[in-house]
Amino acid sequence: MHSVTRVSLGLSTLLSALGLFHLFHKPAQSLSHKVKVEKVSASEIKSESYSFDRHIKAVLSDHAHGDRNFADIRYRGIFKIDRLDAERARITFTLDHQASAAIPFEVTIHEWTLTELKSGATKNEQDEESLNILKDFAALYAFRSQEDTSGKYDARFSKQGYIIIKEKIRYKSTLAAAVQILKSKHQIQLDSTQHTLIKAMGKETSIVRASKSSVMKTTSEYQITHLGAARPRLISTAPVVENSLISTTMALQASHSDQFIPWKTLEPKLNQIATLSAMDRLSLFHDLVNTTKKDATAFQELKGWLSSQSSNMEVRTFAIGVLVTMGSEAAQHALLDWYQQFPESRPTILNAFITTAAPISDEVHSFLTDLLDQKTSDPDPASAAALALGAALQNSNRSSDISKLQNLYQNAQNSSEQTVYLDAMGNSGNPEFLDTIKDGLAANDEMVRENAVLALRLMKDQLTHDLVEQAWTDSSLKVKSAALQVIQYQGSAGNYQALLAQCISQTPELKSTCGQLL
Amino acid sequence: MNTRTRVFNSGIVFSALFFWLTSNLYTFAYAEDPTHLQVQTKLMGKPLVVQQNADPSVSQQGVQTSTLVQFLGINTQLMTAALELQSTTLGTTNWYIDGKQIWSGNLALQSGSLVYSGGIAPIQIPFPLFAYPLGPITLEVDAGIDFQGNLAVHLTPGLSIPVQDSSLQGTMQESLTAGGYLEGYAKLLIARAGVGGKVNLIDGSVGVNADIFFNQSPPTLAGLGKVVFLNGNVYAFVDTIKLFGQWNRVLSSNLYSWAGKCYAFGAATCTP
Repeated sequence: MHSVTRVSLGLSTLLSALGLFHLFHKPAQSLSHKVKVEKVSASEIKSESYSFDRHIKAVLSDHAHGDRNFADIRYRGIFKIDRLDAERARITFTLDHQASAAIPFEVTIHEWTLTELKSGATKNEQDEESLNILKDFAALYAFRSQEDTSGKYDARFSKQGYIIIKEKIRYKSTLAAAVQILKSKHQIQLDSTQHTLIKAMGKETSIVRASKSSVMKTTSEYQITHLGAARPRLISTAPVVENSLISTTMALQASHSDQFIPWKTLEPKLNQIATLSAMDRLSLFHDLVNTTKKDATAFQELKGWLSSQSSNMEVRTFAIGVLVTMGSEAAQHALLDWYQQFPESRPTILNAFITTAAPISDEVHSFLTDLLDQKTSDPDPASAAALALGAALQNSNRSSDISKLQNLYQNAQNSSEQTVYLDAMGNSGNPEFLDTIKDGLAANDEMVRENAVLALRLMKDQLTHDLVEQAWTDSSLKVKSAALQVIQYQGSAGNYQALLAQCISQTPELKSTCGQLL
Repeated sequence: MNTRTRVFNSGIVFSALFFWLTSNLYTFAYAEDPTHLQVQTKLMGKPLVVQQNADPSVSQQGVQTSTLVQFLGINTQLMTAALELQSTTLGTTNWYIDGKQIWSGNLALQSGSLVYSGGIAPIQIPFPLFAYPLGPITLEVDAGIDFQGNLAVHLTPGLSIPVQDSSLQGTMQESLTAGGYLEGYAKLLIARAGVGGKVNLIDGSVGVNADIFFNQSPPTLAGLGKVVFLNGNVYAFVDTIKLFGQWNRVLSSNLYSWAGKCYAFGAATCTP
């Protein structure tokens, strides 16, 4: 058969089979639970925390923008609200996605005012998706606490008692999380969050599972088969949510690959590591990380293999990378053992704790804290520990570390010590350090001011922008140059056009850098 | 629909797919200035750029280097390092990986020279998952950068008379190995698709020789070492099921395939 004809037949088969599948496929059984919804006044909420740990098969798609689609994801996270006063709430949201590879991230946004929530103001724009989810959460929170029914929020009770989901609900995960909030509050038993819409009817809340076929066949509204209702009801939702549901359905049919190269295949390559090129080693590193993450026995095999190779420093450096990237508590524990066992590898291990994208374990955290406390007797490891603790704040929100670094800076004996703690703060990208950094920008010592500016490099909010502009007015060329480095790190030269234009015309020493940035 | 029409329609579909795939691939390199190297291309419709820069520091008493990568449209300051002369006997250096500072301090005196050397274990910089539509399936693609780097800094005084005309020969040598990876695979009932591969973003030992003058004249810089940018291969495929459960490959294509661009300076050479 001609190859083009085979292509045609293949595509025809595909489309026909999809059609047949949807024609004959029975809708999934729906389920509902009736629960009481209690009104919660704002003053009653002091602090709330919801944790969730779910393995779901799909979600998060925005086909309108064509840039998101997750499948087979495990979510673990904590959503915490602390009411500070009548107007201010602190919202902390930690979410850990695990898909084909663990991609942990954390977003902490502090002290949102309700006015800011209404205007959609953002305080941390590093991760747009996290922010969107967080804003959805904030809106749901506002809805649930009955503080606003004006329709300005993303979700609210309508007069008919429905939760109206507006366009601003961006992701299906928001719905899933909303269900989780309701579940934890009302002990609802529900086996799955996918395909879940929330419908509130007066003081009774029904959680309804949409059927696959009904989701697939409509574009503007879909019919919910509802065990608890006498007749089907129609619910309109925003296009984004519809698209999420459609892609969810598609993704449910998909099975994601969870393949990895078995240990037996990797071991011979490991035995030849000394003869491998740098790029082949990096490739082996990648495969080993992938395998050890997915196969627990491979980790044990690797540990056994390493113990026989421990005298080889080059191999050990390679293995330090594998263990720290794996990120499990067991792997990090093994690294601490090595720290004690192999003094010559200590700098490499500390560097690994700085550079890793994985969250550090509590054990490693207390190890680093102890090292930092020994700064008088052993300054170099203490500095590295400070840098690692700062970097770890990218993946966690240990408030004790924030206050510790702030205190160390305030009580530093000299400017050299101050710069170490500013460097550590810079590794965090955490805006809670902005006040301390501001203090550093006003220091007499040029080196402190320079490091204070550099500490802004991973922050992107308005205050950071203002501080960078303020730094530009500094008389020191080094401080000005640091400001340009921050702009380069942030990749936001467009926000500093006036500054850069001024630089080109008035600062010959930096003209070329400013020109490139502009 | 007769066979000829079907063949014609399929030809249009296939041509469109082929055009879409090949239009995502073009590559060029420029800049032979050894202190400013840049290679730029596109992968899956998104920019793929590697830059290696070396510049005098603002004070003219030092040198700074940076390796920047844009992979799948995401900017990463892979490695930056700076060397600054403070006095005839004191030099400082600082070193950043992926925006995180891992070292800042004085050079150590060793056999009449000021030196620093350090290395990091391999690391993985993961990117957010992204969706990539391929035929009938939207793939969830897992991507990121694997990286390992070493830095060696060396300052040797070269005294002359008058002393203010003396200079220091500074060398910043970086060994860099970085690979961008992407992996995605999904299977529907009757179709499956995948995308995967690696692009060697940077591989080699690059560096800069700098003559730093005490009289604050601008340092003179010269490149050294050999480096290869952006060689690699990224593929995509779509299979549909035939009767009796056999898979039939309806699309197989290289999204990216290139031997890369090599630069060599000083005594180094690009020929194997």
